[in-house]
Amino acid sequence: MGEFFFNLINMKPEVFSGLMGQMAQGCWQTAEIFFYTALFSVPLGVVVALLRESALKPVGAVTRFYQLVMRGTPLMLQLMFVMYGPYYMFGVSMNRFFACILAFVINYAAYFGEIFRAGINAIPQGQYEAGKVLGYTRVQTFMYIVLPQVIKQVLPPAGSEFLVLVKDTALANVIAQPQLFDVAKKTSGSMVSIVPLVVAAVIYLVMSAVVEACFHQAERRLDYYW
Amino acid sequence: MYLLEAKGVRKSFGENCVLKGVDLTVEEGQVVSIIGPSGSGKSTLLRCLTQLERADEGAISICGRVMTTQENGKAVYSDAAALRQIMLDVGLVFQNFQLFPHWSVLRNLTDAQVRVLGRSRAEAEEVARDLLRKTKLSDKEASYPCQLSGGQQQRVAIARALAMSPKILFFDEPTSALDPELIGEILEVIRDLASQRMTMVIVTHEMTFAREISDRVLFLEQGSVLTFDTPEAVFNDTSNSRIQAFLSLLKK
Ligand SMILES: Nc1ncnc2c1ncn2[C@@H]1O[C@H](COP(=O)(O)OP(=O)(O)OP(=O)(O)O)[C@@H](O)[C@H]1O
Ligand SMILES: [Mg+2]
Repeated sequence: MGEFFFNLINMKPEVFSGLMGQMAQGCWQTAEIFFYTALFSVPLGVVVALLRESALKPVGAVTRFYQLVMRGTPLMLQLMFVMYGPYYMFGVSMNRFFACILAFVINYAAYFGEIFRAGINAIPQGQYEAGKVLGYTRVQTFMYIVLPQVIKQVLPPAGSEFLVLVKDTALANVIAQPQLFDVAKKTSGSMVSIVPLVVAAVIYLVMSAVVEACFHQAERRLDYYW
Repeated sequence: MYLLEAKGVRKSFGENCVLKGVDLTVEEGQVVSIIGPSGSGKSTLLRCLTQLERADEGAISICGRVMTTQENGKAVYSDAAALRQIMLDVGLVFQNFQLFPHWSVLRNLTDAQVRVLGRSRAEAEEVARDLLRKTKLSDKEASYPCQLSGGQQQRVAIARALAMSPKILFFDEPTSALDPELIGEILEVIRDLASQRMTMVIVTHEMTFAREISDRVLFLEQGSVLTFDTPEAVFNDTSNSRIQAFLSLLKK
Protein backbone atom coordinates (compact mmCIF):
# COMPACT_ATOMS: atom_id res chain seq x y z
CA MET A 1 0.00 0.00 0.00
CA GLY A 2 2.67 2.51 1.09
CA GLU A 3 4.86 1.35 -1.75
CA PHE A 4 2.03 1.87 -4.21
CA PHE A 5 1.60 5.45 -2.96
CA PHE A 6 5.26 6.34 -3.38
CA ASN A 7 5.31 4.76 -6.81
CA LEU A 8 2.26 6.75 -7.73
CA ILE A 9 3.77 10.06 -6.75
CA ASN A 10 7.12 8.92 -8.11
CA MET A 11 9.02 9.91 -4.97
CA LYS A 12 11.19 8.08 -2.45
CA PRO A 13 9.70 7.91 1.06
CA GLU A 14 12.60 9.86 2.61
CA VAL A 15 12.28 12.56 -0.07
CA PHE A 16 8.58 12.75 0.56
CA SER A 17 8.98 13.04 4.30
CA GLY A 18 11.61 15.76 3.79
CA LEU A 19 9.15 17.59 1.58
CA MET A 20 6.43 17.25 4.18
CA GLY A 21 8.75 18.72 6.80
CA GLN A 22 9.34 21.78 4.64
CA MET A 23 5.65 22.01 3.89
CA ALA A 24 4.82 21.85 7.57
CA GLN A 25 7.18 24.73 8.22
CA GLY A 26 5.64 26.71 5.37
CA CYS A 27 2.23 25.95 6.74
CA TRP A 28 3.26 27.27 10.15
CA GLN A 29 4.64 30.47 8.59
CA THR A 30 1.40 30.95 6.67
CA ALA A 31 -0.54 30.42 9.87
CA GLU A 32 1.61 33.08 11.55
CA ILE A 33 0.87 35.62 8.85
CA PHE A 34 -2.80 34.73 9.10
CA PHE A 35 -2.85 34.92 12.88
CA TYR A 36 -1.06 38.26 13.27
CA THR A 37 -3.07 39.83 10.47
CA ALA A 38 -6.32 38.71 12.07
CA LEU A 39 -5.19 39.77 15.53
CA PHE A 40 -4.41 43.35 14.55
CA SER A 41 -6.66 44.04 11.57
CA VAL A 42 -9.94 43.18 13.30
CA PRO A 43 -9.66 45.66 16.20
CA LEU A 44 -8.15 48.19 13.80
CA GLY A 45 -11.17 47.59 11.56
CA VAL A 46 -13.47 48.66 14.41
CA VAL A 47 -11.41 51.83 14.79
CA VAL A 48 -11.55 52.46 11.03
CA ALA A 49 -15.34 52.03 11.11
CA LEU A 50 -15.67 54.50 13.99
CA LEU A 51 -13.35 57.04 12.34
CA ARG A 52 -15.27 56.72 9.11
CA GLU A 53 -18.49 57.54 10.96
CA SER A 54 -16.85 60.34 12.94
CA ALA A 55 -18.86 63.51 13.48
CA LEU A 56 -15.77 65.39 12.28
CA LYS A 57 -16.20 65.45 8.51
CA PRO A 58 -12.48 65.65 7.61
CA VAL A 59 -11.72 62.57 9.71
CA GLY A 60 -14.37 60.60 7.87
CA ALA A 61 -13.07 61.84 4.51
CA VAL A 62 -9.45 60.93 5.26
CA THR A 63 -10.52 57.48 6.47
CA ARG A 64 -12.54 56.94 3.33
CA PHE A 65 -9.56 57.91 1.19
CA TYR A 66 -7.34 55.47 3.06
CA GLN A 67 -9.90 52.72 2.46
CA LEU A 68 -10.10 53.62 -1.22
CA VAL A 69 -6.32 53.32 -1.61
CA MET A 70 -6.19 50.02 0.28
CA ARG A 71 -9.12 48.51 -1.56
CA GLY A 72 -8.36 50.12 -4.90
CA THR A 73 -4.76 49.01 -5.44
CA PRO A 74 -3.29 45.49 -5.63
CA LEU A 75 -2.29 44.00 -2.29
CA MET A 76 0.82 42.71 -4.05
CA LEU A 77 1.82 46.27 -4.84
CA GLN A 78 1.13 47.33 -1.26
CA LEU A 79 3.37 44.56 0.03
CA MET A 80 6.20 45.74 -2.26
CA PHE A 81 5.60 49.31 -1.21
CA VAL A 82 5.77 48.60 2.51
CA MET A 83 8.78 46.31 2.14
CA TYR A 84 10.91 48.33 -0.28
CA GLY A 85 9.38 51.81 -0.14
CA PRO A 86 11.20 52.86 3.04
CA TYR A 87 14.49 51.70 1.56
CA TYR A 88 14.09 53.50 -1.76
CA MET A 89 12.87 56.65 -0.09
CA PHE A 90 14.85 56.86 3.16
CA GLY A 91 17.43 54.13 2.97
CA VAL A 92 15.71 52.29 5.80
CA SER A 93 15.48 48.56 5.27
CA MET A 94 12.44 46.86 6.71
CA ASN A 95 12.28 43.59 8.59
CA ARG A 96 10.65 41.27 6.10
CA PHE A 97 8.16 39.60 8.40
CA PHE A 98 7.23 42.90 10.01
CA ALA A 99 6.70 44.54 6.62
CA CYS A 100 4.59 41.60 5.54
CA ILE A 101 2.31 41.79 8.60
CA LEU A 102 2.10 45.56 8.40
CA ALA A 103 0.98 45.47 4.78
CA PHE A 104 -1.62 42.79 5.44
CA VAL A 105 -2.94 44.55 8.53
CA ILE A 106 -3.45 47.97 6.97
CA ASN A 107 -5.02 46.35 3.92
CA TYR A 108 -7.40 44.09 5.82
CA ALA A 109 -8.31 46.78 8.34
CA ALA A 110 -9.74 48.76 5.43
CA TYR A 111 -12.01 45.87 4.47
CA PHE A 112 -12.93 45.05 8.06
CA GLY A 113 -13.69 48.74 8.51
CA GLU A 114 -16.43 48.44 5.90
CA ILE A 115 -17.77 45.24 7.41
CA PHE A 116 -17.92 46.75 10.89
CA ARG A 117 -19.39 49.98 9.57
CA ALA A 118 -22.28 48.07 8.04
CA GLY A 119 -22.64 46.11 11.29
CA ILE A 120 -22.64 49.20 13.47
CA ASN A 121 -25.17 50.96 11.25
CA ALA A 122 -27.48 47.96 11.53
CA ILE A 123 -27.88 48.49 15.28
CA PRO A 124 -30.91 50.70 15.94
CA GLN A 125 -30.32 54.16 17.42
CA GLY A 126 -32.71 53.16 20.19
CA GLN A 127 -30.13 50.77 21.64
CA TYR A 128 -27.72 53.66 22.17
CA GLU A 129 -30.53 55.71 23.67
CA ALA A 130 -31.57 52.90 26.01
CA GLY A 131 -27.95 52.63 27.14
CA LYS A 132 -27.75 56.36 27.69
CA VAL A 133 -30.91 56.68 29.79
CA LEU A 134 -29.80 53.76 31.94
CA GLY A 135 -26.68 55.76 32.75
CA TYR A 136 -24.07 53.85 30.75
CA THR A 137 -21.27 56.02 29.43
CA ARG A 138 -20.84 56.22 25.67
CA VAL A 139 -17.88 53.85 25.81
CA GLN A 140 -19.80 51.37 27.98
CA THR A 141 -22.80 51.53 25.67
CA PHE A 142 -20.59 50.75 22.71
CA MET A 143 -18.54 48.03 24.37
CA TYR A 144 -21.27 46.13 26.21
CA ILE A 145 -24.44 46.82 24.25
CA VAL A 146 -23.57 47.68 20.66
CA LEU A 147 -20.38 45.75 19.93
CA PRO A 148 -21.67 42.28 20.93
CA GLN A 149 -24.58 42.74 18.56
CA VAL A 150 -22.27 44.05 15.85
CA ILE A 151 -20.13 40.93 16.19
CA LYS A 152 -23.12 38.70 15.60
CA GLN A 153 -24.09 40.87 12.65
CA VAL A 154 -20.66 40.76 11.00
CA LEU A 155 -19.82 37.08 11.48
CA PRO A 156 -20.86 35.94 7.97
CA PRO A 157 -19.04 38.66 6.00
CA ALA A 158 -16.05 38.56 8.36
CA GLY A 159 -15.83 34.78 7.94
CA SER A 160 -15.76 35.25 4.22
CA GLU A 161 -12.98 37.81 4.57
CA PHE A 162 -10.95 35.41 6.70
CA LEU A 163 -11.21 32.74 4.02
CA VAL A 164 -9.82 35.22 1.51
CA LEU A 165 -7.00 35.96 3.94
CA VAL A 166 -6.01 32.28 4.12
CA LYS A 167 -5.30 32.38 0.41
CA ASP A 168 -3.99 35.95 0.26
CA THR A 169 -1.08 34.96 2.50
CA ALA A 170 0.41 33.47 -0.66
CA LEU A 171 0.90 37.01 -1.95
CA ALA A 172 3.68 37.42 0.62
CA ASN A 173 5.74 35.59 -1.99
CA VAL A 174 6.21 38.88 -3.80
CA ILE A 175 8.48 40.13 -1.01
CA ALA A 176 10.12 36.72 -0.59
CA GLN A 177 8.53 36.12 2.79
CA PRO A 178 8.78 32.37 3.41
CA GLN A 179 5.41 30.63 3.69
CA LEU A 180 3.52 27.68 2.26
CA PHE A 181 3.21 28.91 -1.30
CA ASP A 182 6.88 29.83 -1.41
CA VAL A 183 7.83 26.32 -0.27
CA ALA A 184 5.47 24.71 -2.76
CA LYS A 185 6.75 26.74 -5.67
CA LYS A 186 10.42 26.17 -4.90
CA THR A 187 10.19 22.45 -4.15
CA SER A 188 7.95 21.81 -7.13
CA GLY A 189 10.57 23.42 -9.35
CA SER A 190 13.55 21.66 -7.83
CA MET A 191 11.87 18.25 -7.75
CA VAL A 192 10.24 18.74 -11.13
CA SER A 193 7.06 17.41 -9.57
CA ILE A 194 3.50 18.52 -9.20
CA VAL A 195 3.22 16.80 -5.81
CA PRO A 196 4.26 19.84 -3.73
CA LEU A 197 1.58 21.94 -5.45
CA VAL A 198 -1.06 19.32 -4.74
CA VAL A 199 0.03 19.04 -1.12
CA ALA A 200 -0.05 22.84 -0.76
CA ALA A 201 -3.55 22.94 -2.25
CA VAL A 202 -4.74 20.35 0.25
CA ILE A 203 -3.18 22.26 3.16
CA TYR A 204 -4.79 25.57 2.09
CA LEU A 205 -8.10 23.79 1.78
CA VAL A 206 -7.78 22.25 5.23
CA MET A 207 -6.84 25.61 6.77
CA SER A 208 -9.85 27.19 5.08
CA ALA A 209 -12.07 24.40 6.32
CA VAL A 210 -10.87 25.00 9.88
CA VAL A 211 -11.55 28.72 9.62
CA GLU A 212 -14.96 28.05 8.10
CA ALA A 213 -15.81 25.60 10.86
CA CYS A 214 -14.80 28.12 13.54
CA PHE A 215 -17.12 30.75 12.09
CA HIS A 216 -19.90 28.24 11.64
CA GLN A 217 -19.57 27.32 15.30
CA ALA A 218 -19.48 30.96 16.39
CA GLU A 219 -22.61 31.70 14.41
CA ARG A 220 -24.40 28.80 16.03
CA ARG A 221 -23.36 30.00 19.46
CA LEU A 222 -24.84 33.42 18.85
CA ASP A 223 -27.95 31.96 17.29
CA TYR A 224 -29.91 32.40 20.51
CA TYR A 225 -31.12 35.93 19.83
CA TRP A 226 -32.91 38.05 17.19
CA MET B 1 -42.41 69.95 45.77
CA TYR B 2 -41.91 69.82 42.02
CA LEU B 3 -39.93 66.87 40.76
CA LEU B 4 -39.96 68.38 37.32
CA GLU B 5 -40.17 71.99 36.31
CA ALA B 6 -39.88 72.97 32.68
CA LYS B 7 -40.44 76.48 31.45
CA GLY B 8 -40.44 77.81 27.92
CA VAL B 9 -38.98 74.71 26.28
CA ARG B 10 -38.31 75.29 22.61
CA LYS B 11 -36.86 72.93 20.06
CA SER B 12 -36.44 73.15 16.30
CA PHE B 13 -35.15 70.69 13.77
CA GLY B 14 -33.71 73.01 11.15
CA GLU B 15 -36.61 75.17 9.98
CA ASN B 16 -39.18 72.94 11.64
CA CYS B 17 -40.15 74.48 14.98
CA VAL B 18 -41.45 71.49 16.95
CA LEU B 19 -41.75 72.85 20.51
CA LYS B 20 -42.81 76.45 20.82
CA GLY B 21 -42.35 77.24 24.47
CA VAL B 22 -43.74 74.39 26.56
CA ASP B 23 -44.30 74.75 30.31
CA LEU B 24 -44.76 71.66 32.44
CA THR B 25 -44.61 70.97 36.16
CA VAL B 26 -44.87 67.61 37.87
CA GLU B 27 -45.23 67.22 41.61
CA GLU B 28 -43.82 64.30 43.52
CA GLY B 29 -46.16 61.32 43.28
CA GLN B 30 -48.15 62.79 40.42
CA VAL B 31 -49.02 61.15 37.15
CA VAL B 32 -49.07 63.49 34.17
CA SER B 33 -50.33 62.38 30.78
CA ILE B 34 -49.32 64.11 27.60
CA ILE B 35 -51.83 63.81 24.80
CA GLY B 36 -52.24 65.43 21.42
CA PRO B 37 -52.31 64.75 17.70
CA SER B 38 -49.52 62.93 15.90
CA GLY B 39 -46.59 65.20 15.14
CA SER B 40 -47.50 67.68 17.86
CA GLY B 41 -44.12 67.20 19.53
CA LYS B 42 -44.96 64.84 22.41
CA SER B 43 -42.00 62.55 21.84
CA THR B 44 -39.69 65.49 21.24
CA LEU B 45 -40.75 67.01 24.57
CA LEU B 46 -40.07 63.74 26.36
CA ARG B 47 -36.73 63.39 24.62
CA CYS B 48 -35.72 66.91 25.68
CA LEU B 49 -36.66 66.13 29.29
CA THR B 50 -34.67 62.87 29.26
CA GLN B 51 -31.62 64.44 27.56
CA LEU B 52 -31.94 62.40 24.40
CA GLU B 53 -32.43 65.69 22.60
CA ARG B 54 -31.03 69.11 23.44
CA ALA B 55 -33.56 71.86 23.94
CA ASP B 56 -32.78 75.13 22.16
CA GLU B 57 -34.43 77.21 24.85
CA GLY B 58 -35.98 76.78 28.24
CA ALA B 59 -35.28 76.28 31.92
CA ILE B 60 -35.55 72.69 33.11
CA SER B 61 -35.05 71.32 36.62
CA ILE B 62 -35.51 67.71 37.62
CA CYS B 63 -35.50 66.36 41.18
CA GLY B 64 -34.21 69.66 42.47
CA ARG B 65 -31.26 69.71 40.07
CA VAL B 66 -30.87 72.31 37.39
CA MET B 67 -30.59 70.77 33.94
CA THR B 68 -30.79 73.98 31.92
CA THR B 69 -31.27 77.64 32.60
CA GLN B 70 -32.60 80.15 30.14
CA GLU B 71 -29.97 82.79 29.44
CA ASN B 72 -29.97 85.35 26.65
CA GLY B 73 -32.66 83.48 24.77
CA LYS B 74 -30.80 80.17 24.90
CA ALA B 75 -30.91 77.05 27.03
CA VAL B 76 -27.63 76.78 28.95
CA TYR B 77 -26.94 73.25 30.13
CA SER B 78 -25.36 72.38 33.47
CA ASP B 79 -22.00 70.62 33.61
CA ALA B 80 -21.62 66.98 32.66
CA ALA B 81 -21.59 65.72 36.25
CA ALA B 82 -24.91 67.39 37.06
CA LEU B 83 -26.48 66.14 33.83
CA ARG B 84 -25.34 62.63 34.60
CA GLN B 85 -26.86 62.80 38.07
CA ILE B 86 -30.15 63.91 36.56
CA MET B 87 -29.91 61.07 34.06
CA LEU B 88 -29.70 58.63 36.97
CA ASP B 89 -32.78 60.15 38.56
CA VAL B 90 -34.96 59.58 35.52
CA GLY B 91 -36.12 56.46 33.74
CA LEU B 92 -37.57 56.13 30.27
CA VAL B 93 -39.72 53.41 28.73
CA PHE B 94 -39.67 53.35 24.94
CA GLN B 95 -42.50 52.65 22.56
CA ASN B 96 -40.56 49.75 21.05
CA PHE B 97 -39.04 48.46 24.32
CA GLN B 98 -35.37 48.60 23.28
CA LEU B 99 -34.40 45.65 25.43
CA PHE B 100 -30.85 44.38 24.92
CA PRO B 101 -31.38 41.29 22.75
CA HIS B 102 -28.10 39.59 23.56
CA TRP B 103 -28.82 39.49 27.30
CA SER B 104 -31.25 37.36 29.27
CA VAL B 105 -34.16 39.06 31.00
CA LEU B 106 -32.27 38.93 34.29
CA ARG B 107 -29.12 40.45 32.80
CA ASN B 108 -31.22 43.18 31.19
CA LEU B 109 -32.33 44.11 34.68
CA THR B 110 -29.06 43.70 36.54
CA ASP B 111 -26.26 44.86 34.26
CA ALA B 112 -26.80 48.61 34.61
CA GLN B 113 -27.35 48.26 38.36
CA VAL B 114 -23.92 46.67 38.66
CA ARG B 115 -22.01 48.70 36.10
CA VAL B 116 -23.66 52.07 36.56
CA LEU B 117 -24.86 52.12 40.16
CA GLY B 118 -22.08 49.92 41.50
CA ARG B 119 -24.43 47.51 43.26
CA SER B 120 -23.19 44.02 43.99
CA ARG B 121 -24.39 41.26 41.70
CA ALA B 122 -26.33 39.62 44.53
CA GLU B 123 -28.04 42.87 45.43
CA ALA B 124 -28.84 43.61 41.78
CA GLU B 125 -30.36 40.17 41.32
CA GLU B 126 -32.47 40.59 44.40
CA VAL B 127 -33.83 43.89 43.08
CA ALA B 128 -34.40 42.32 39.67
CA ARG B 129 -36.19 39.24 40.99
CA ASP B 130 -38.41 41.39 43.16
CA LEU B 131 -39.41 43.47 40.13
CA LEU B 132 -39.94 40.39 37.99
CA ARG B 133 -42.28 39.07 40.65
CA LYS B 134 -44.24 42.30 40.63
CA THR B 135 -44.53 42.27 36.85
CA LYS B 136 -45.44 38.55 36.89
CA LEU B 137 -42.38 37.53 34.92
CA SER B 138 -40.58 35.39 37.50
CA ASP B 139 -40.57 32.38 35.19
CA LYS B 140 -38.93 34.40 32.40
CA GLU B 141 -35.70 35.51 34.01
CA ALA B 142 -33.59 33.15 31.92
CA SER B 143 -35.43 33.90 28.68
CA TYR B 144 -34.13 36.18 25.95
CA PRO B 145 -36.19 39.14 24.77
CA CYS B 146 -36.90 37.53 21.40
CA GLN B 147 -38.65 34.66 23.18
CA LEU B 148 -41.20 36.98 24.82
CA SER B 149 -44.45 38.49 23.63
CA GLY B 150 -44.58 42.24 23.08
CA GLY B 151 -46.45 42.72 26.32
CA GLN B 152 -43.89 40.72 28.26
CA GLN B 153 -41.04 42.63 26.61
CA GLN B 154 -42.58 45.92 27.60
CA ARG B 155 -43.01 44.71 31.17
CA VAL B 156 -39.33 43.75 31.22
CA ALA B 157 -38.50 47.21 29.88
CA ILE B 158 -40.50 48.82 32.67
CA ALA B 159 -38.80 46.57 35.23
CA ARG B 160 -35.41 47.45 33.74
CA ALA B 161 -36.12 51.14 34.20
CA LEU B 162 -37.43 50.62 37.74
CA ALA B 163 -34.38 48.56 38.70
CA MET B 164 -32.35 51.76 38.55
CA SER B 165 -34.60 53.28 41.25
CA PRO B 166 -35.55 56.37 39.26
CA LYS B 167 -37.33 59.22 41.01
CA ILE B 168 -39.38 59.97 37.93
CA LEU B 169 -40.36 57.66 35.12
CA PHE B 170 -41.20 58.71 31.55
CA PHE B 171 -43.19 56.61 29.09
CA ASP B 172 -43.42 57.31 25.36
CA GLU B 173 -46.53 55.56 24.10
CA PRO B 174 -45.77 52.35 26.00
CA THR B 175 -48.68 50.46 24.43
CA SER B 176 -48.59 51.72 20.84
CA ALA B 177 -46.44 48.87 19.52
CA LEU B 178 -48.64 46.22 21.11
CA ASP B 179 -51.57 44.15 19.89
CA PRO B 180 -54.81 45.32 21.48
CA GLU B 181 -55.12 42.26 23.71
CA LEU B 182 -51.67 42.96 25.23
CA ILE B 183 -52.31 46.61 26.10
CA GLY B 184 -54.18 45.73 29.28
CA GLU B 185 -51.26 44.06 31.01
CA ILE B 186 -49.04 47.13 30.53
CA LEU B 187 -51.72 49.51 31.76
CA GLU B 188 -52.11 47.24 34.76
CA VAL B 189 -48.42 47.62 35.63
CA ILE B 190 -48.56 51.39 35.25
CA ARG B 191 -51.72 51.56 37.35
CA ASP B 192 -49.91 49.59 40.01
CA LEU B 193 -47.01 52.03 39.97
CA ALA B 194 -49.41 54.93 40.25
CA SER B 195 -50.98 53.39 43.32
CA GLN B 196 -47.50 53.24 44.84
CA ARG B 197 -47.20 56.97 44.09
CA MET B 198 -44.49 56.63 41.50
CA THR B 199 -44.00 59.95 39.73
CA MET B 200 -44.69 59.41 36.05
CA VAL B 201 -45.02 61.33 32.80
CA ILE B 202 -46.83 59.32 30.15
CA VAL B 203 -47.31 60.08 26.49
CA THR B 204 -50.33 58.05 25.44
CA HIS B 205 -53.18 57.68 23.00
CA GLU B 206 -55.20 55.64 25.53
CA MET B 207 -57.67 58.34 26.51
CA THR B 208 -59.76 56.35 28.97
CA PHE B 209 -56.59 55.29 30.71
CA ALA B 210 -55.16 58.81 30.75
CA ARG B 211 -58.39 60.07 32.22
CA GLU B 212 -58.50 57.39 34.89
CA ILE B 213 -54.90 57.48 36.03
CA SER B 214 -53.71 61.05 35.61
CA ASP B 215 -53.55 63.87 38.11
CA ARG B 216 -52.87 66.27 35.28
CA VAL B 217 -53.29 66.06 31.53
CA LEU B 218 -51.26 68.15 29.14
CA PHE B 219 -52.70 68.66 25.69
CA LEU B 220 -50.06 69.50 23.13
CA GLU B 221 -50.85 70.81 19.69
CA GLN B 222 -48.30 71.91 17.12
CA GLY B 223 -45.69 72.36 19.80
CA SER B 224 -47.80 74.49 22.13
CA VAL B 225 -49.63 73.59 25.31
CA LEU B 226 -53.34 73.96 24.72
CA THR B 227 -54.31 73.02 28.26
CA PHE B 228 -52.62 71.62 31.31
CA ASP B 229 -55.25 70.70 33.87
CA THR B 230 -57.03 67.92 35.72
CA PRO B 231 -58.43 65.15 33.53
CA GLU B 232 -62.01 66.19 34.33
CA ALA B 233 -61.32 69.73 33.23
CA VAL B 234 -59.56 68.68 30.04
CA PHE B 235 -61.94 65.97 28.90
CA ASN B 236 -65.14 67.74 29.90
CA ASP B 237 -64.21 71.12 28.51
CA THR B 238 -66.80 71.19 25.75
CA SER B 239 -65.92 74.79 25.03
CA ASN B 240 -62.54 73.86 23.65
CA SER B 241 -63.33 72.84 20.11
CA ARG B 242 -59.83 71.62 19.29
CA ILE B 243 -59.67 69.18 22.18
CA GLN B 244 -63.18 67.98 21.39
CA ALA B 245 -62.25 67.52 17.75
CA PHE B 246 -59.19 65.49 18.75
CA LEU B 247 -61.18 63.34 21.16
CA SER B 248 -63.99 62.62 18.73
CA LEU B 249 -61.43 61.75 16.06
CA LEU B 250 -59.96 59.15 18.42
CA LYS B 251 -63.37 57.65 19.18
CA LYS B 252 -63.94 56.76 15.54
N1 LIG C 1 -34.71 63.83 14.81
C1 LIG C 1 -35.57 64.58 14.12
N2 LIG C 1 -35.14 65.29 13.06
C2 LIG C 1 -35.99 66.06 12.36
N3 LIG C 1 -37.28 66.22 12.64
C3 LIG C 1 -37.79 65.55 13.70
C4 LIG C 1 -36.95 64.70 14.50
N4 LIG C 1 -37.71 64.16 15.48
C5 LIG C 1 -38.95 64.67 15.31
N5 LIG C 1 -39.00 65.50 14.25
C6 LIG C 1 -40.19 66.22 13.79
O1 LIG C 1 -40.78 66.83 14.90
C7 LIG C 1 -42.18 66.82 14.79
C8 LIG C 1 -42.80 66.27 16.07
O2 LIG C 1 -42.43 64.92 16.19
P1 LIG C 1 -42.74 64.05 17.48
O3 LIG C 1 -42.19 62.71 17.24
O4 LIG C 1 -42.29 64.79 18.68
O5 LIG C 1 -44.33 64.00 17.47
P2 LIG C 1 -45.31 63.15 18.36
O6 LIG C 1 -46.25 64.11 18.97
O7 LIG C 1 -44.54 62.29 19.28
O8 LIG C 1 -46.07 62.28 17.29
P3 LIG C 1 -46.61 60.76 17.39
O9 LIG C 1 -47.90 60.82 18.13
O10 LIG C 1 -46.81 60.37 15.96
O11 LIG C 1 -45.58 59.96 18.08
C9 LIG C 1 -42.52 66.02 13.56
O12 LIG C 1 -42.84 66.94 12.53
C10 LIG C 1 -41.25 65.31 13.22
O13 LIG C 1 -41.11 65.17 11.84
MG1 LIG D 1 -44.23 60.17 19.42
